[in-house]
Amino acid sequence: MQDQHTSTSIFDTFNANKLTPDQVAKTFVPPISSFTELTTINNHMIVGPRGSGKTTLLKMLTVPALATWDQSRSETWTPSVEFIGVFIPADRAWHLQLRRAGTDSNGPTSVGVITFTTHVLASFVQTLRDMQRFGTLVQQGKIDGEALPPLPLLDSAGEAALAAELANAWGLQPAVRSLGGISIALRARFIELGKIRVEAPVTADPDAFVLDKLSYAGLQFRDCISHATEAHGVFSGDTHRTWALLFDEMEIAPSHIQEDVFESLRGEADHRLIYKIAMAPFNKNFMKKPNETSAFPGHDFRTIELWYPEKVRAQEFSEKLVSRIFTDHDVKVDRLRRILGDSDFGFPEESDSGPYAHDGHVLKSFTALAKQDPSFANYLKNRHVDLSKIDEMGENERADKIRKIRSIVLTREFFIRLNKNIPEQYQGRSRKVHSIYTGYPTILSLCEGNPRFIVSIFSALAKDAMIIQNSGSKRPIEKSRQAAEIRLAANSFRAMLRTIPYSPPLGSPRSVLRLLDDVSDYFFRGVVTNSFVPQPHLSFSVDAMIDQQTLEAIGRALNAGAIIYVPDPNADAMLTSLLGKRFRLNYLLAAYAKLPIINNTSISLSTILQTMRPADYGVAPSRQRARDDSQPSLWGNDDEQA
Amino acid sequence: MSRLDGDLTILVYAVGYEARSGHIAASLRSEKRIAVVFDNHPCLSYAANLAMARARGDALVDANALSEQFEPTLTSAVEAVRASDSGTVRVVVDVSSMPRVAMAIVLLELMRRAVTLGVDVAVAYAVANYAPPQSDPGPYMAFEPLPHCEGWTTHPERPLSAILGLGYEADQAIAAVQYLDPSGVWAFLPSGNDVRFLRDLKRANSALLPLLKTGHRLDYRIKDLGHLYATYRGLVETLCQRSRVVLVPGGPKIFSAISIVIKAQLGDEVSVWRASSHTESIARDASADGSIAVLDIPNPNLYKTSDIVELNAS
Repeated sequence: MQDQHTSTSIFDTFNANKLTPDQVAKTFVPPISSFTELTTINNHMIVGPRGSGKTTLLKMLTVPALATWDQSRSETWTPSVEFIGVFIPADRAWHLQLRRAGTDSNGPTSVGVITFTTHVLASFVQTLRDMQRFGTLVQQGKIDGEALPPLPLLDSAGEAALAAELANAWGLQPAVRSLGGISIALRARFIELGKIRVEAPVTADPDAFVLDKLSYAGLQFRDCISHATEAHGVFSGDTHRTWALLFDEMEIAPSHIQEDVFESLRGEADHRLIYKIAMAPFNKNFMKKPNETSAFPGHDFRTIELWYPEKVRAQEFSEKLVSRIFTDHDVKVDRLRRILGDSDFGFPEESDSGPYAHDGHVLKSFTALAKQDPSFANYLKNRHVDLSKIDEMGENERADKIRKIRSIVLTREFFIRLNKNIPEQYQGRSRKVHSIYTGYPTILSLCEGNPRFIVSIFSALAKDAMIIQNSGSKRPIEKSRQAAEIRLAANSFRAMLRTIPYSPPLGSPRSVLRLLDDVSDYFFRGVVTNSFVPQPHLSFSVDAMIDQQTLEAIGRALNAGAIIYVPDPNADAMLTSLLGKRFRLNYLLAAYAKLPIINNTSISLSTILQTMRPADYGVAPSRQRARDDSQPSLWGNDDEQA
Repeated sequence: MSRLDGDLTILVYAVGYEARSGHIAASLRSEKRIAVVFDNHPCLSYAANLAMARARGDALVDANALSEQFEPTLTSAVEAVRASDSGTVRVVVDVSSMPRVAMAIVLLELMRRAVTLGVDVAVAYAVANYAPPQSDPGPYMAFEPLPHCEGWTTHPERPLSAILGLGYEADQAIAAVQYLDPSGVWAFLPSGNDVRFLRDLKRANSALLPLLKTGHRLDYRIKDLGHLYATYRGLVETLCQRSRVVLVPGGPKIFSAISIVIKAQLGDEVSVWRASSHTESIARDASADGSIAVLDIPNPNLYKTSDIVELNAS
């Protein structure tokens, strides 16, 4: 049977949970400013959507990862971590087991809560064992451990004394007084809890049953860890060490556990304990009832954001990770632009002039659109734009009249042409992703700086690059191959969005994907099918007309990474309310929906939904007027395109 | 009418709207029959299937009260058979038309009580004629464990492995992968005599299949359940040594039945999840192609034998 944990390439996985910390270290491409901040002795909330690298960052703070920090592959920079990281893993399947075991009830009689506490203790003991192992290797000179914090070692007597102390405090009866013995005893506790979760519900008084059976039911993980770190300090002689509890996937934890962990951020009880919590951007449990004891950003914790509203910010990290993936496949990376070829879009920020020459693709696209789209021809006329004199324009005039609308025009012209030439390709929402979304730097932009998307798309393309390189060619990877991998990633992502339920106020239940498809269809009309406008809406704001179910669906879409929060300057990264906030579609979804990958003006979500689904949301008051005002659509009735 | 191995047989089957739901009851000789009646879609062949069950004098169990009614009905059926003959009693569960939730309740209860009752257990499946998949994949998909199948790990720190049974429900398997976010993924692909099924299956799983590593795609034949069981159980046992294992059975119902059996045999480190597509409640008929596959469940935990019975559709 093939070992599931053996990969041909370490980038074959999309999920850092799969990798051991030392494997994570080997592939780690640090977002340096975020990681440097994370290594400071402060409480942190690491906020990012699914796949944004939260787990990787937390795992990189653990002893095994830091012990195997690969300096040769991480430029010249070595992190300085002064605390011991205790990684507390979690995932949806396990959290569901906890929820079914009764974490919805508060207090010590919940088997789910007791199990969670046991898990924290087991993770802590594993960290102690890692410290012993890697501390010994450092002492023996077998690893340099430059990135490691000092690892105080326990001698045999110290380990036995610590084990006895922990066993006493945690109500364990280990067969052997060692850290291994404590681990085994905690494992036995998981087994006992599994038995109790079945027995308790069928008793007359489940709470009394749990309290009667489990003498350790009242243990609090904070108290236990605080005591354990103090004991470790005494027996190791290192009493000033700081410990960081690294909680992963907090957004899918049962509510009671989330609130318990958030409470810890106040952290005044034990200054040796700090918390680093990975969270999705929207969490209604966080600061649910803010009061004088609540944790506050800036004071009790700092926030690290792992998403990029502006694509330029994502570009640097994406380029590094893609280069690393190619290098891992023995592809020599001189310039990514050579390997991927040029994209049709480029960045509007670039001040290149080639595309505007008479034979340049941008001018060709403008000219073609002006010929077949009267609304665009009128727009040019009203703006006094003569396309035959585009190369005579000054830089400012070109920026104002041409570059500003370049992505819109390229997209509009491409899909109008496609509809004309191959109508079957355009009917409905085809699964095809088109070549205009390929090439450098566009394909990188689609990834949003999200490691999961990057690994998903570029692991496969690296094999193509390797074959091309081995053939002695310098040609870029075929656009069709790039489009195929983008399509696969988009389809997988869309399938995940189909698992997120959503009930609109009037219509039948559906997935959040359908809600987002309504939004993207609305945007598509503005860009392609309706009369030309230079700044069509490509983002939306959540207004007061939006009902509670839709608000929750938007929150889930945000946490999944399907929409991207575009914050105002100085706004909090952690959202406890969505009202008044602005969002855009994830660019991978935007490419699937045949939209330009730019961040444009916004419109209220209620207007979009009332326009697209009046039966589910009621008719938008402004809709009739807006339709009356608009020029005839290029393709007839707008509704037929929905 | 055929008999399996000459044992005394108690058949548990579903009375639903599919034409095939009464196929095994009509084809295999059995001493007693317990019909689980699903009246939520009383259309298509439901009335005829119910009439047949009544005409045969089968014990009827209301699917809505399955948890309460199944165990006493089963016990009384076993006692009745024992009263007239002291031979080996085998309880055969026909899962062909049985919803997965009911299947979990029936199989887990049966396996729990098998030793006490002194019965052998088998699952049976009437292979269906090809029917094209639904064009509308449904508004959304929900994933959750089957009743009593959520499991309980003693190693929450271990990675998660997912084993999928593929069917031709569009994107269901890739959605499960995305939802559960496992570290390793294996997929079982069914094959039969009709190539259209394989074509539809590949189309429905086009987003998943390229992601499967070499050796993680396992083909099985519905008519060779013994091989499927041995391969499947071996894989789960291996993965359990170093990971938590989630089974997500899609495709033919018999794969779900075997998933539940393996979970029951291997314990709480294994969980079984189901996907429901939440398509609009449109009943779709399924007719039997005439062949019936039967797997004897080893009890205790040793694989014993499997039987294939080829019968004419009645």
